[in-house]
Amino acid sequence: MPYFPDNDMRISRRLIALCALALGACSHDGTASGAKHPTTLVFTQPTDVDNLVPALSTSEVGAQVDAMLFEKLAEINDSMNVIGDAGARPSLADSWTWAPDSLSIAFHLDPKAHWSDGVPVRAPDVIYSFRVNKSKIVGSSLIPLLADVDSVTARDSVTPVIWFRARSLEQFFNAATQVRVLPAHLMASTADSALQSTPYGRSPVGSGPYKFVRWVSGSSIELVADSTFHRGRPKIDRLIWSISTNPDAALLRLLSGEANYLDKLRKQDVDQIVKHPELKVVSYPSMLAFYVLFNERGRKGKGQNPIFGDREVRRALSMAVDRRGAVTTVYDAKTPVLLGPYTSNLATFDPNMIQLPYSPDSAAKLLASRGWVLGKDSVRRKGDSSLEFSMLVPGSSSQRQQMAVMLQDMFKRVGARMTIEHVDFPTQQARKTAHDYDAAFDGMSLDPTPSGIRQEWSSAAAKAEGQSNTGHYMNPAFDAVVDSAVATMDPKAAIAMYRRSYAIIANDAPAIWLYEAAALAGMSVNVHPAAMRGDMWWVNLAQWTISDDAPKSGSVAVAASAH
Amino acid sequence: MLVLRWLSAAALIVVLSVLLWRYAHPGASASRGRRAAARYAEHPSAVIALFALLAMYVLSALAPWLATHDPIALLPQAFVNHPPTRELLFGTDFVGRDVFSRVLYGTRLSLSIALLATIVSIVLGTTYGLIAGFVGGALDTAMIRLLDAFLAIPRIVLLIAISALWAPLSVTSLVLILGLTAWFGTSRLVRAEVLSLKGRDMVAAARALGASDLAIVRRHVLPNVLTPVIVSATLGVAGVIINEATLSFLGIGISDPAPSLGNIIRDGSPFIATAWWVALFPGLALVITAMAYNLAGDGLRDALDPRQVDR
Amino acid sequence: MRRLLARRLLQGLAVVWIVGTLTFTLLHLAPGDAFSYHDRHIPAEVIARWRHIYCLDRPLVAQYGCYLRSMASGNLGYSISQQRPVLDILIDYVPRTLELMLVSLFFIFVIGIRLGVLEARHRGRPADWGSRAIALFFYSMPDFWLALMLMLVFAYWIPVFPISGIEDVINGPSFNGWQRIVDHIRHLVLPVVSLVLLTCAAVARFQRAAMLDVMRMEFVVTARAKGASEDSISTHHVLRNALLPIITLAGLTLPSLLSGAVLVELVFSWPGMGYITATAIGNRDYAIVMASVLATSVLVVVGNIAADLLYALADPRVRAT
Repeated sequence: MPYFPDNDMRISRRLIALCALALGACSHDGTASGAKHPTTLVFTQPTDVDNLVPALSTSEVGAQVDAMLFEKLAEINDSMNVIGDAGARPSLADSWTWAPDSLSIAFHLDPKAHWSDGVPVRAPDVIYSFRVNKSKIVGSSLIPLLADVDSVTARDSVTPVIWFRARSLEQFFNAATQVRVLPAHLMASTADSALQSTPYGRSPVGSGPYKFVRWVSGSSIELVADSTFHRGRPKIDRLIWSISTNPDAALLRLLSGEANYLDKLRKQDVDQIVKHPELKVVSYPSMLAFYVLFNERGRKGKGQNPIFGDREVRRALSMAVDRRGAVTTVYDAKTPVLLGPYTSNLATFDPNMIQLPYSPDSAAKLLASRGWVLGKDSVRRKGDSSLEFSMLVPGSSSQRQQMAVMLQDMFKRVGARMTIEHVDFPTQQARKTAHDYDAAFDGMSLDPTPSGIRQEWSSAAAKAEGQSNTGHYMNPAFDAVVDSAVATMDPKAAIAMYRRSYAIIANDAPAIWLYEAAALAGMSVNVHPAAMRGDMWWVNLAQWTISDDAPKSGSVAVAASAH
Repeated sequence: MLVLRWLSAAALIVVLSVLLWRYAHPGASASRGRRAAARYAEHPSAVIALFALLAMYVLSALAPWLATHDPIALLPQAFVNHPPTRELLFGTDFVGRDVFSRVLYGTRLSLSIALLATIVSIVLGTTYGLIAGFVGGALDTAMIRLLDAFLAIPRIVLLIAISALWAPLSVTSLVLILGLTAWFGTSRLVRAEVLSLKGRDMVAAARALGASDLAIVRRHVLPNVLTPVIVSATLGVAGVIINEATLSFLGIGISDPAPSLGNIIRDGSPFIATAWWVALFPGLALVITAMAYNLAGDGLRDALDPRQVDR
Repeated sequence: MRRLLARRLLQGLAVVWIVGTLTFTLLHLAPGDAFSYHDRHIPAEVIARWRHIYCLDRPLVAQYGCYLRSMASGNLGYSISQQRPVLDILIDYVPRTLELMLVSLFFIFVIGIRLGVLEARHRGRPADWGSRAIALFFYSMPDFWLALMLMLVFAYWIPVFPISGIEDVINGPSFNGWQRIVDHIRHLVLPVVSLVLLTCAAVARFQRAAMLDVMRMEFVVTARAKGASEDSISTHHVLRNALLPIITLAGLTLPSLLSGAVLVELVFSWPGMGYITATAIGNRDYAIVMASVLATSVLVVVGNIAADLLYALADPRVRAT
């Protein structure tokens, strides 16, 4: 058995110190030398991916990786025009032709397109991919969008044809620019029910601009540029998604150069990043809408909510809120106020939409006229019930919390008492689905398609169990207008009808529309992003570049001060 | 006004400490309890620990009276993640709540939960150990195997599994679950003590005289078992406090907005580098409490059990 | 020796069986089953298939039998959040935890034993109580809080070691073997330091007591009477005899060390068992949580058996039986 005399201990202590120094020194050399060749973009993300098969992946990081590994037949432009194919550009297909009756579209695949194992992409791959995405067993999130797709056939080996049951303005968008094409030669032999657990989902072979290298579960996913990609080699050599569960640890990775891209910046992230001259903050369009959702149904879904079942009360509470003021205080004057269930980058957006005015006086009058009279404790009462409710506020965003406090104050001025329930995100989702809430501070990432409004606010969406219209807003007039907007083939008429539906829903006030969130990303100054689209900022990653001039922070600082 | 309140709380702590000290230093006549107290007082660290605990309990019991802010109320935007100042002693958290007041209230909740859970675990552990040790035979073997299995599961993993399945937990069920997972060590101790007592003369004598099992347990076994039970309870509180904090830290213990030491640290952990004060202060409160309980437990062991010297 | 091994293995199996029964009971006492909680959309057909594989569509007794059978064959359920069998996940994550544990265990004992010896030799003097106070201070810390504080210190004040992950994701692939090892060790440092600080107090305390016990024994007194130096006494007589019980302690430390690892892994994003368990809570992924109960207790049982065998090897009295 060893014994450790004090003498020996002193030596080892010195040894430990030496080791620490050596280890510390290594880190410096490592990051400085490795950053030059090849160029690498490292994203820091909070969660791991569940699966890399596009039809199965449910995580946002999974969507980002898939967008680089797999291609769609066509892609919409950065203008996000989703009507017909006017805003579409070639991707896997280099061209397409519509049947005269618009009920089928024949796509011509780029003959140079190939899977990363060398096998060319052919029509059977497209047929297989549509079948998988329509399969109830697989459960792809695209199922509702593909409802109008009847079948896919092959005219010849490079010409798949999509057959539609019905025509609509968005039929091209829903089919051609949604489904990512999968390699039938590798996947078709697996039963649909077993797809989730195939090894393929963890080491995929795709046809996109990047090739899969490795996935170290719980740590990182790495892709490398495919120099034989049929539309030209992407600019950045390597893409790495690295996982860091703690947001501050993620920030520190960016600050220390262990990563050069951090998405969804918090306020304190921005404060830190602007202090570092080798980093920059980039703002990009987003389709995130935030609002306070009223539960019009009673608690646990029974009957009508005694407060929010009344449209006039909802309107009164909306009028009690100074939205511009609150948004300016919490964010800034540039952050747009949300006008309805749509954001300003949709083609159907109407900047002149009539809004409920901010007027606490009218709000008070309106409440009084509905029988809610001011009690002694300055809370309104109607019979036995008082104007009290709670609002769920999810997540760890301090701005959202702060906004909630401001709302609380504004409601108080018109005689409504709101308590704030701070919950985590899964709890909020579960309670919304169970109708177990009064009001909820809610956020939604919108589709670029205006028809998405139907999934969130229609009566059909309210009636189906587990559906997304958890506030239970129902207005037949709204449903009718939206339905005809979706069905029409005349783009101009469609826009007009969508705008009419916006007016109806804004007037009914199923929610207090608050703001469109600004999306901010932090990155190294030598990362040059291509156009970042509101719904998917990562869609043009293959065109991003990294200039190899400024890997060291010191030199950048000098360059920045010279400007 | 608030300063006055704090001063009177401090005065209360001093008065209570002096009373305790007087009790430990008796005059000529000394009962058994007083002798133990005197032995306890020989350990300066244990005495300091006792005073620290006293201070913790007094301060947290008076939390509503001493708090500088409402622990749930949110301050304006400018005070979000605000560093400590003279007004906001421990700064504010990510939604602008005063950390100092939250720590006061949080200590109160954490201490109460730990105390109640320890009572649950002690009652359970003592009963289990008594039965296993006293009945013996096949039942004892079965019970001890079961105990082995429970001891083989890392405590936190077991707690996570239970809490996650029943989340969200009410305070009552949290107390129960913490108590139900903390008794294994105690019952092991009790069983060992019972086994050694069983071989002693007095138990054999009592049995020969026809005393019932229950009477033997009550008169001979329980009083002797009490010492290790009290010591393990004291040490156990420290463990339970930390376990409760861990569950709250993981988001399956006390749920927001009610403050517990664990969930204040949880609120601070995403901002550990940018707003360190949120996680630092409740953690210090936790460490002080747990350390005080550990030291007090050591002191108690020496005081109550003269056989064991200098451990 | 062989008999001892057989007996310990049987006992270990019994323990694992009880733990398995416990997880089974817990799952069934809880509202719903492992497949009824999830926030994301999983098609009914897929769930039905997994429910069938895990016998959840059969009567309770049959379920229990089926559960034991599948457990024995390593079939631990299906993870909804990772979309793969739990066993595959364990294969990825358990080795990382094992590595963390073994490295920590090594340092815990090296440092703990040294502290214990030091304290026993300087008994009652400042070195003794000072070292005990510091050790107890760390021992009284919640694991996650110590990890957070280390993160704070090493994030801003001494940015020497990486504060999250297991490797340098940028340069890792281009590293040669030696650089890769150094990189890996650098990432190990903070989690290991946390675990060592948290646990070595217990070892030191135990070692100190064992040393003091042996010091009172006759042969030590005799040696001292013969005029042997204090150094030689502590080396040749005391330490050698006081080290034996420490081996048992190694087995006993495992559960608390694993408990600590859960939190430390989470804070430092070290993707091991603890990390995956803690993230599974957020995803409401009960298959992983329950499997981790089983997996960690198997680790503890195996550790205990190993400790017993080591003890037997080291102590000739036991070896003979």
